Amino acid sequence: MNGTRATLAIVRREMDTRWLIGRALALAVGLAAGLSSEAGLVAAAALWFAVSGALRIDVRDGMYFTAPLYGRQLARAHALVALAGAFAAPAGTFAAWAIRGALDSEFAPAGLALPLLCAVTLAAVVALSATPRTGIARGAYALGA
Amino acid sequence: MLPQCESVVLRVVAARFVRDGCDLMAPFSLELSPGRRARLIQPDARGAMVAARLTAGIVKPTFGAVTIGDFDSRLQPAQAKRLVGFVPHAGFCGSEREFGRELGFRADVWNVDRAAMVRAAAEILGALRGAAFCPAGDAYARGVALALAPGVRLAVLELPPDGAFEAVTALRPGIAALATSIAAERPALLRGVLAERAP
Repeated sequence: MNGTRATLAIVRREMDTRWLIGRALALAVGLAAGLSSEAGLVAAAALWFAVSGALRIDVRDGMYFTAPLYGRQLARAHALVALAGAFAAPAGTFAAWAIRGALDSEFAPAGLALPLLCAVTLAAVVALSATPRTGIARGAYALGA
Repeated sequence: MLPQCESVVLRVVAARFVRDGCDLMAPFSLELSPGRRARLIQPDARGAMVAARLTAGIVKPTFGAVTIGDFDSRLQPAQAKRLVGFVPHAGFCGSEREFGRELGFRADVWNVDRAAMVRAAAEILGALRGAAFCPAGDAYARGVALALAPGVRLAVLELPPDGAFEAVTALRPGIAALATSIAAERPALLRGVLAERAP
């Protein structure tokens, strides 16, 4: 059984055209926020896209139940998709900082870059926990993220 | 543990599926060997859908056991599902492009050659083209193609349209096949009756 091939197949399946359009939008918004040099705006945009991207993943897709997949393959693939999506907005912001010549200062210990990357990673992983749930539990995870 | 017999593809022993204290399908037992087929009649649509999913290893029995090949569907679900082609009652309703993507996805997940998978699907679609049970859109034929193209040993058809079961068994006479359907009359007296079981 080739686990990597199956995991990458799930990743490709989730990264469809709508996902790509969403990430392109996140990149653009991240770029605009980075150019505005408002730290709050940068963080809000990055977190919003990290959470909304992770919540969009459909772990209850019937196809996954009929396919010979292990839960760990699904979990890894969905985490990869969520994290790849979460890094789109920060990537745009980093591009904006590079244009402004502020990339070095933002990656310094007192800068925003590393906290931003940690925050979107954490938000995406917590929001991912909402995807198999419904109702109040789902909302709680999304809010927690 | 029951003694295993290599010639049996599907073995169901006293399977029950219970939710909130309620049996969602009529309990049943059966054995299917390669080339054999069975039609499992259930009192209602919900029972037929649960029975189909249970024999395909998608849901696990609350009581009893389901063994596909040599694999227990509860303990080794991935290995068991690898042997099964499950055709949902609606077939595959996506577009032509989505069908192509789904074929690629299945080739990767079942770990088979993509080109061989596409050829097998085209052959199945060609054989089913124009059949009475797949009108405009051929959604059911696509569902059959997706299920059988990976080269499975057991086909499970959930509430197939008239004529579909016969067409599928004719397509792959060497594999075991099972279809679920709803009892036409006296459903309350039925208990997972095997209506048809022929080589």
